[in-house]
Amino acid sequence: MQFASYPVKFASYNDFKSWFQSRYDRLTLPPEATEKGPFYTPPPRGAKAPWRVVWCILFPDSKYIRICENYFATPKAQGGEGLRAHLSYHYGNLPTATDSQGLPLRAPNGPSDLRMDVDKYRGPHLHYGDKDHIPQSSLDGLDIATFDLFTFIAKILEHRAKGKPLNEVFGFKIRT
Amino acid sequence: MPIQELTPLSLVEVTELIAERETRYRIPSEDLVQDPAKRRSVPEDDLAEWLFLLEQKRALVEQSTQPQQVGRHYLSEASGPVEDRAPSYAELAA
Repeated sequence: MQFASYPVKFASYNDFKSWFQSRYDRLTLPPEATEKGPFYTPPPRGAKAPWRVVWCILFPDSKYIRICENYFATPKAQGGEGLRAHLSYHYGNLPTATDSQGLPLRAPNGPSDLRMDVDKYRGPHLHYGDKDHIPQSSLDGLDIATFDLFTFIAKILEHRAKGKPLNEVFGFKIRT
Repeated sequence: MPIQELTPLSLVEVTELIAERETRYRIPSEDLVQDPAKRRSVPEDDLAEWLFLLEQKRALVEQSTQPQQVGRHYLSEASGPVEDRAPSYAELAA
């Protein structure tokens, strides 16, 4: 895996939790929104990666945000830190099915209004409207690999509050 | 809603969950890593969870082969001195 292209990392799970908690405490959601999670999957033992966070925010108009980040350990020679190897930030229509934790269960490759992904094999890409797997190289104004989940949530809330198109709120353009 | 920490899975549980996915998609985990066509046949969220399970298994197997005293040492090191920290998420994302 080429870790250099995924620069977001923490020295330990405890550092990640401290960061997350401090940002979470500052987040103000609309009163009508409900949450499932955040759920942390901690490292198997100790504070070294892997760990994971999954979190859904549900809105009464049947839209939802789903956040998922997976952190993997860098090789010991590179410090063994927890590096964000995967992220998916999803906003779209709320599916009816739920999993064992009560989290919305998205239909396989179901549509999204906006979805950012970084995965080990495809690299950073975007799903927007009816376009899927738009690579980072086709985007201007958005760096998916370094994007912050709390910024994603804030921008979705702005989109919902002001009715501005998502590409304007996020400030990206797709090259044709 | 308060942040909830799930109970870490054991090696047996992780192995069972991996086997469940291999059966569901009829893809051995080795092929998942090596074969892009098979990988693309798995929905993105499921693929991410599957790869996370494989990483959990790798870490669990690695830890299970370490002597107990080394494990304790590892734990004491894990939080690490502040000056050894990697750049923070916030710094990198800014």
